[in-house]
Amino acid sequence: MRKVLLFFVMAFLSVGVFAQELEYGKVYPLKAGMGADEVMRVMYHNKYSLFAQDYFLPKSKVLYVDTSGYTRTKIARRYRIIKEGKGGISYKDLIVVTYPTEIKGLAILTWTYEDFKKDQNVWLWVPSLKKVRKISASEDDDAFMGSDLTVEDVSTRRFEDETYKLIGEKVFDGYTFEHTQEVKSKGKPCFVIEATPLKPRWYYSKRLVWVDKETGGNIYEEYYNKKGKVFKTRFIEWGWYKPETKKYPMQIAIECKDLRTGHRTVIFNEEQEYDQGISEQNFTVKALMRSRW
Amino acid sequence: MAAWMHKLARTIIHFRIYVISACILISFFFANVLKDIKIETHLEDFLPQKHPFIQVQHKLTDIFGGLNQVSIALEVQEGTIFEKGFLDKVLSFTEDLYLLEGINISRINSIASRHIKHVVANEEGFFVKRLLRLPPTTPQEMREFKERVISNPNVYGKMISKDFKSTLIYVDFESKAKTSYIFNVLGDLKKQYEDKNTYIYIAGRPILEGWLNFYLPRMLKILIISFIVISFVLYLTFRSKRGVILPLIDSSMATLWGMGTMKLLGLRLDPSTMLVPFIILSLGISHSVHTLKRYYEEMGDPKMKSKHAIIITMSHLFLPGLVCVITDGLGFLSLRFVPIPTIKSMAMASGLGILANFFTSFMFTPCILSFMHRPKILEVRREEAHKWVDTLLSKLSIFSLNKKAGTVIVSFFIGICLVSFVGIGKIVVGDNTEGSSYLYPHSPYNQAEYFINRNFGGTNSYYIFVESKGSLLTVDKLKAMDSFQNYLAGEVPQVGSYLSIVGAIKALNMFMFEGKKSYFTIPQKNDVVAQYWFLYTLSGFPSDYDHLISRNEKFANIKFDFKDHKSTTVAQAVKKTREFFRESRFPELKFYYAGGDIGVLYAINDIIRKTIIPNAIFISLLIFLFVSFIYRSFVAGSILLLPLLLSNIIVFSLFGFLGTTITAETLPLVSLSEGLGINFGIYILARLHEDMREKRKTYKNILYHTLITSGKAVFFSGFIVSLGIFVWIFSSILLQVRLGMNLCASLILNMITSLVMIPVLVWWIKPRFLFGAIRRRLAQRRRQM
Repeated sequence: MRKVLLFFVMAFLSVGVFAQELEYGKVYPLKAGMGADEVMRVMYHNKYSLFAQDYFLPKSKVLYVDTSGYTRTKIARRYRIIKEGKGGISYKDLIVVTYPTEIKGLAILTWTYEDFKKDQNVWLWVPSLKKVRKISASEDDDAFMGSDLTVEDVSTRRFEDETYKLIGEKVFDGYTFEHTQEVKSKGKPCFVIEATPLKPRWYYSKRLVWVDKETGGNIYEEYYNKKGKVFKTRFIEWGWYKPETKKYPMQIAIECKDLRTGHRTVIFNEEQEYDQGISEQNFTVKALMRSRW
Repeated sequence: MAAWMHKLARTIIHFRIYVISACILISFFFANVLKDIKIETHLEDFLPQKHPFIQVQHKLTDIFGGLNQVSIALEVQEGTIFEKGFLDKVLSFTEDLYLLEGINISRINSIASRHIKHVVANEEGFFVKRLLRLPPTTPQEMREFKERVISNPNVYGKMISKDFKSTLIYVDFESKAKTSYIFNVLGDLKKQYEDKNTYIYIAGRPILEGWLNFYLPRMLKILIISFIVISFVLYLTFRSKRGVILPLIDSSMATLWGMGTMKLLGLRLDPSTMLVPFIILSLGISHSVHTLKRYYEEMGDPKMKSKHAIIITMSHLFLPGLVCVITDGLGFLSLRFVPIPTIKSMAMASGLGILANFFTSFMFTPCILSFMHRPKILEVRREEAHKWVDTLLSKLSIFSLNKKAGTVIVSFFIGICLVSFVGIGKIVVGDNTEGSSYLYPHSPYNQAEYFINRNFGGTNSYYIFVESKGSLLTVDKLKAMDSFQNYLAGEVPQVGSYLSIVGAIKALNMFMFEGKKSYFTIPQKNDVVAQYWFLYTLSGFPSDYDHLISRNEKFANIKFDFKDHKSTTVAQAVKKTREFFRESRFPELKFYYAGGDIGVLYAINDIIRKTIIPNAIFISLLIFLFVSFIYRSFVAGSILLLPLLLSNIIVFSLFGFLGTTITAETLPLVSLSEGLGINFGIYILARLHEDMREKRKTYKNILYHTLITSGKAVFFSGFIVSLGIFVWIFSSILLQVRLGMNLCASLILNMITSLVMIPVLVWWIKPRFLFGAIRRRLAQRRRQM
């Protein structure tokens, strides 16, 4: 009887935790029997690395590959500091282009707010003109850095933007990473969640998300149009940062395919670091103007 | 009669059962081949593929796409587009377009498209938002939306009409998308969204092809009408069952053979090749008319047996028949030199059908006739009873021999000829119609084109292809492109707007400097240009800018939108382009011109100008040499050719006097009318030649006899061929109607000039190849006396 009571108390507590925003600075593991909302809250927590203090990605290599195989490459450096809601800010992000040479140094600073209805603040540094310009936040369905990913795929989609339904718990069949022809993430136990957008006239009618039970990362997504046809897929290879100590889930590689155009975007995140004590001073307009990348 | 022809005729009749069986078997074979023949229009086939401008067009479509562009206009009947219901419809329509298979999602240009933005620039920076994400719900929001529309030069007047009654959506389908698919899915959307308050207009190359394919099967009904009309004329001609049925059967067989071979050669039915069965059918019947006329003429002798009559008929008609088939063939053969694929296909298919006509009209029908019982004498008399035709032709024979009358006729024709040259001088080459010249002005397609042109202006594209060794995104190269686009826009008033990567870079420069119009310029440094382009592409998906510049940044294009495609505009555009590049050199860039509607039209006009006269000279020369060879007399060639040239001059002068422009479909006119029209003269001359050798007649008698026998056959067969072609006027495809009318007019004129002028010319010239026999007889008689 005591065990039964304890189970109900634990169950109530866990619902209590997941019914609201998850706390910053913590890593939340996924557990069997979780509901769709709980799984997705953890997934978003991990996606924006809200478990860490800061994040540094020295080299994010983005490949744009068209149907003929023609590939364009862009490389960027990324910094993020988690503000944990201080001043209403969730996190600040800085992306600096380092390749190709002619656009080297071009930087975009973004402040993302806790209030999901509030637009991001975005500043642009154009080194050739030595000018900072405030620009409107990209719209959620705009492309991210000219890729097949949308802005919300990478940085603005929030838990509140969709409703969720648990389709089931399944073992992932594996994904053939087209860039290397490697089969990845095969046999990983996953939650399969159906996410339906709340925004009217949205560019997808639903998406199916495979959330890896081990890392809490969204390893695979299928986007469906109004006709129920898949038009885009996204695979993310998740791994661990310092598994012995911190055990932070992190995104290692991404492949996003637009099935309508045949174009794909491949992203490799190399040498990622967390909790490096990055100063908030780097995330200001002034710092942007002073910077030499 | 040459002995070898008589021998050949006897041999064929000897093996008649095999000839008939072979013809029937071949017909069954081709009927089986034709079971699944495709009706498919590819407008590409109407273009001179080797013309440098068409090559540029191919380059453009290979690199930048745009082969299957469609324009869709949604018009509101009551009020303006600034109503929630209508904007909701535009949003839903646009969303449904995104869901279509094979559509190029980056090229859906609607006010509701994801990449159509509203930009506000100020001292702080610049702010970009989608122009229409959701329909405004309050009057204030609607006012703001209207202000955004008016302030955006890329939207106001281009995507939303200036009277705010309609909006334009441009879409582009992948090149692998079939025309029929595009036509059907967009037609379904039109049905779904059109109502009392919303009209939808759809235009563009795939839609035009779709409409042509939609109309083409109707030609089968017209073929049936043609059958009925021809049957009626055949009945009037022969007043007998065999006189109606046999020509129809043999020419239908030839049609099957021609079409079947066409299918085996991989040719499709399109608006040009669809005319092939009509041509073969009419020509086949015209040849059969001569066979039957001659047969009935021989059977006029009550003692004559059917089999013997047919051998005589065959032996007399073999040579003129063969000459006719060869000259018809030469007419079509010369079309092989017209560098337009569909005309080449038409030439090939018709040529094969005409060859088949020889077997069916001059072998199959005689073999069948040889099996039939001799016609009743009443039938023979009925066949001969065309009093008004006989009277007409006999008067013509008397008239031709009257020297004064002959002088009047010849002077009359010379006079007409001189006047005709004035008309020819007024001919305008090129399509000056608004919309597509292939269809009627009232056709739904052309109505859609008119609507779009009137409300959105400048929908006639003119493309320049730009190539660079390295990246095009440098200051100097952009300035070179800019200088050309400014020059052309300044020199040719019909340029409505232009679009290139230069505009994008200039606009971004302006936004960087608080939206001040003075900064709508190309920046001074290459790295600024590169960074602008990066920013420009930042919020777009990978293929969103493929229509402006290739991904390796080595190829770009400049697109001008012209307000019309009149031949003067087309010529002016190309002339000014040539002048610019003659005077300005850009060592790092190559400019190739010109693609788009204007470039393609120029190529077609150029081909018409370059081809039509050499083609006319070539076919005339071929016919002249061939006929001269057959009769061993250049005079014979001249006598046959002169009436043809005259009628063609008259027909072409009508183009000038009536203000009808010469378009691509006029190209086959000379070849066809000369090739087909020469038949009339050949039959008359052959009969004259034959009758001249008969010892008992004077020229007056000979001419009279020739005209009421072969002349009558020419008269009826001329009407039959013309009628078979005249029924094209019932086609919904204007291209066929125009070709039909022109060809019909030309053939009738050919027939009249042949009937009137050949006897006069023969009497005037008294050529040796005809009068040699009479002269010899007279000399012999004189010697005997």
